[in-house]
Amino acid sequence: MRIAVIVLIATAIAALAYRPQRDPLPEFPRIMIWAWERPEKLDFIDPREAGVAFLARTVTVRGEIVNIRPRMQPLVVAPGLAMMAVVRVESQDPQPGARIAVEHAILDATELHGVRALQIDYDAKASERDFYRGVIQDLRRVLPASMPLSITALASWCEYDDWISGLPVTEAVPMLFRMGAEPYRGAERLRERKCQSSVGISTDEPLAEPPRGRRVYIFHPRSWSREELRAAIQEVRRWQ
Amino acid sequence: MAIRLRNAALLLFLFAGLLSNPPDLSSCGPFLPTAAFSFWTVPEDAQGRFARGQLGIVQPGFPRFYLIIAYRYLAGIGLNAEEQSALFAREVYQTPEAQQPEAIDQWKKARARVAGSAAQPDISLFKSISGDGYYINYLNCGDNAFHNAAKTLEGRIGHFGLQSPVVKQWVAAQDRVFANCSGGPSIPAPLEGTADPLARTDREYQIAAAHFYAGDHDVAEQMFRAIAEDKGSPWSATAPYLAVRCVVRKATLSVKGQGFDRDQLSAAEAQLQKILNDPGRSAVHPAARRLLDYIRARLNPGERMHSLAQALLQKNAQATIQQSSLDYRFLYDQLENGNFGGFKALQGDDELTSWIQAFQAHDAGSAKKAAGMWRAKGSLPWLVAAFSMTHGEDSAGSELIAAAQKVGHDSPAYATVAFHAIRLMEESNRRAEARAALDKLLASDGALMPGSALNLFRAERMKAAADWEEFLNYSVRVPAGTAIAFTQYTGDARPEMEEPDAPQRKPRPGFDVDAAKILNEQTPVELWLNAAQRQTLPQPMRREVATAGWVRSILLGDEKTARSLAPTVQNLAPELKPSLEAYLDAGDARARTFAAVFVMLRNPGMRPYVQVGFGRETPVNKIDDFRDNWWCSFAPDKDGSLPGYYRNASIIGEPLRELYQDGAPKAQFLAKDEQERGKREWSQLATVAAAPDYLAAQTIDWAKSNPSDPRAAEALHLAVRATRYGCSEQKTPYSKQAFDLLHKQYPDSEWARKTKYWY
Repeated sequence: MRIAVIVLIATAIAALAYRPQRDPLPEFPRIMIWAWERPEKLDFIDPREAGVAFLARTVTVRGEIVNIRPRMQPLVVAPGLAMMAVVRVESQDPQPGARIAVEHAILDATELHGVRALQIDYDAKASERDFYRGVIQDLRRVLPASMPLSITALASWCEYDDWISGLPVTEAVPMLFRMGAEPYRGAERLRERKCQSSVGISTDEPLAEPPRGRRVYIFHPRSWSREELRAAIQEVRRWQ
Repeated sequence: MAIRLRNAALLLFLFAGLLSNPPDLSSCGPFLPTAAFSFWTVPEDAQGRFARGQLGIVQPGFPRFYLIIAYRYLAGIGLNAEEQSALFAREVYQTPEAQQPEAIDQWKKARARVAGSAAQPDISLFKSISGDGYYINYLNCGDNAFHNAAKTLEGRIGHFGLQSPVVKQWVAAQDRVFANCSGGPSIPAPLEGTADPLARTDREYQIAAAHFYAGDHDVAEQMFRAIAEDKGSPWSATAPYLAVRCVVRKATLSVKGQGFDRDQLSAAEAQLQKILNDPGRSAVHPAARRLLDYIRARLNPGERMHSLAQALLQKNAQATIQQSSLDYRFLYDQLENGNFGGFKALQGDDELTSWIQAFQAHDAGSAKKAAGMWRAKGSLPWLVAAFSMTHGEDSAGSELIAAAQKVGHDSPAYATVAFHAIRLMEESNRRAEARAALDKLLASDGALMPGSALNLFRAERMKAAADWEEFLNYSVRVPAGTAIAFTQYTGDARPEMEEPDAPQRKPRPGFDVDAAKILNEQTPVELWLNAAQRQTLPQPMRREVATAGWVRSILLGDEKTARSLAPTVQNLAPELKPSLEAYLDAGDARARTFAAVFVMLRNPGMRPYVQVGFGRETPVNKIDDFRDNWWCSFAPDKDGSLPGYYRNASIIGEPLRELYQDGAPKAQFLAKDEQERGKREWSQLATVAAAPDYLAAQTIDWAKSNPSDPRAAEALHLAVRATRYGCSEQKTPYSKQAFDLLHKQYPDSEWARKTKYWY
């Protein structure tokens, strides 16, 4: 009987532990290029090779006051490219009264031509998490079911501070750059389930231990050139 | 069976618990305020002393906004009070969203005077255009649109009366005009021919403006040209200028994000020139000139950059300096990024641009160029540039040091030149000369210097220290400000992003990284005792040295030094006095070690190294919320870097790196045997486990052999706590062992009750 219980437990644990790695964004290429607030001419990207997640707007919240700064630099891409609108949120003591305005500001980005997914980039402090959680829950309710909702995540959210585990997001992209003086080591600690499918890196901070088998979002601190983009894609493919 | 199922469930639960065991602190955030001893990315007191020409040490890390100012002073042009005000006026820093409330507010206030108008519609200033393969947003309605509307409304109220239906109709039409700022098209209807002539001409203008904001630029251009021909229209003088704006919009927006249409911009340039040649249109000449500058920056960036650089070096340029600085930096950014043809588009010899390029590049080629330019021109800007890039082994060194003698104390270059001249002396082993020069400089000018420069001179003097006393003396620095040690990835540096953005801390003396690295990594602990007991360091720094030195000597097993340091720690940190009594009173070495461990367990702020700047700001006996508790292992990882908070405080960054290009300050003032002992002790410290493991192992060992010690239960509880909040690089069994021992040996104690989990 004891052996049977042990076998049962082991089987249950194995069943619980087994999570097939399903790609939550099957419509998107495995490499996504972040196009930040710089003039970007990316019409040389092969749509089969990479997609573009572009900063569409920055929403600033101070208390109940919401300001929206749209992307002010032109972005040119090849027709047919998988496009993801990124909305960056910056806040200082955000109040619940600002939530609807923030949500509208974020939603408007999905109206842009050809946008097939939404990504929110918000480094919410612990005191801002309820606000952020509410925004995400509301957005998920009103976004079309076919529109993936991605968020960027501090590595700590994916390592141990797992407040994002219950959020209705398609993926959380751990950003493994701008984290200190030394390259990030610890991809094996990114154990939060939402953080399993992708990773965010920067071209000016090579990873010491690149995590494999994930969609990679690539940030570049300047406007992309064809050569830089080619080199970045080749490097990522080498270890992806 | 029920019991078995319960046990199985418990097993499952525990297994899940194991899976969720929290690992150590990530290096990601928090972004804590740090002490800025010497500024690198922005001048200290930028709008005050720096703007008045007291430049301190000019750094290549300064944004170009400040380098232009520095150049003007170095070239003898300077800035008058009006130029200073103009450069630092808020408009320079305002982003479009910051402008929104002020401009729209003015319009809303004027509009609110007209009773009976419909509710104010929301206005958004930006328009988005996106299509297959392009995304463009632009500021569609600028400030002037709202100022002009408010002014016109006031005029019409004065002409027709507040209650006039004409005014109400005008407001309704203007609401439609502004609806096109972000949306549209929303075009007001024309007025009947029988309408008041002024109202009719106003409406024609509103219709043209609505088309302009809606993006119907061809229609708008035709309408503005027709208005220009209508001499009866109050808008005929400005209409030609607005027609040109339509052409410019077409030129920049019709190409779907692919730059601009050169032919259309050229046509706009010719039309603007015609307006500027017409004295009858003088009202729009300032706006026309600005638009012409905008066009020329794109059509001929090299020439425009050249003329801006010349404009920036004019005296009494208060009327233009702000715009020139903005445009120049915009063009510089574009050329630097390879846009508009890159730097090869530059035309003619542009002194300012050459200087900025060389000064910021800071490489061997630029050093050679700067030295050549200084020899050829003998000017201060090139002397400063040459100095900042030359090193002790370079042939220009002696020549430059000699030139420095001729730079007077009242020169804006004085601090920069003196700093680098002394640096070169040190780098070429003229250490005694460097010391003498520094002592003279600090005595005569130290009190008047900005803190940022003073700290760098003190760092230089510490590097040249002849003995331990001098080292300690010049290790004392007062932060020049507070900064956030985090660079957001929002793009290019702008002055407004570089201002230290943190609540300013009360300045108190502390160690910068150069001094801390020498103490922590090269100084034997007996000298820590000496530093703690002599009066050279101010009290807070002595306390830091004494407390860290005591922990260090415990970890190194140097009982003699630890016992000597304990009374000093008691004096300098009175809150630790009772705990240290137990240590001093302990009967033998083993008991003393446990007593020391118990003190550390109760005081998470204790660590075997001095901290940099503000250090850990949580009280020594409290757990730090960001896990800056005790110490991490000092064993370097495979690429030689150190884990935990100590790593971030041990890296020599700019501007100290100007003094230590290899990033490694050396305790040359110590005797050879002292240097060796210091090095040996640092290596030995690397063999000590991270605090949670070290403290828990010692505690478990003591509690097992001394179960009746009344401190044992509390110590085991604190050891488990340390494994939760301390730094551990590897999974070790100590947390569970301490937990088990506590619950087995002291099951009824309050400490067992408080310890519900192990980690």
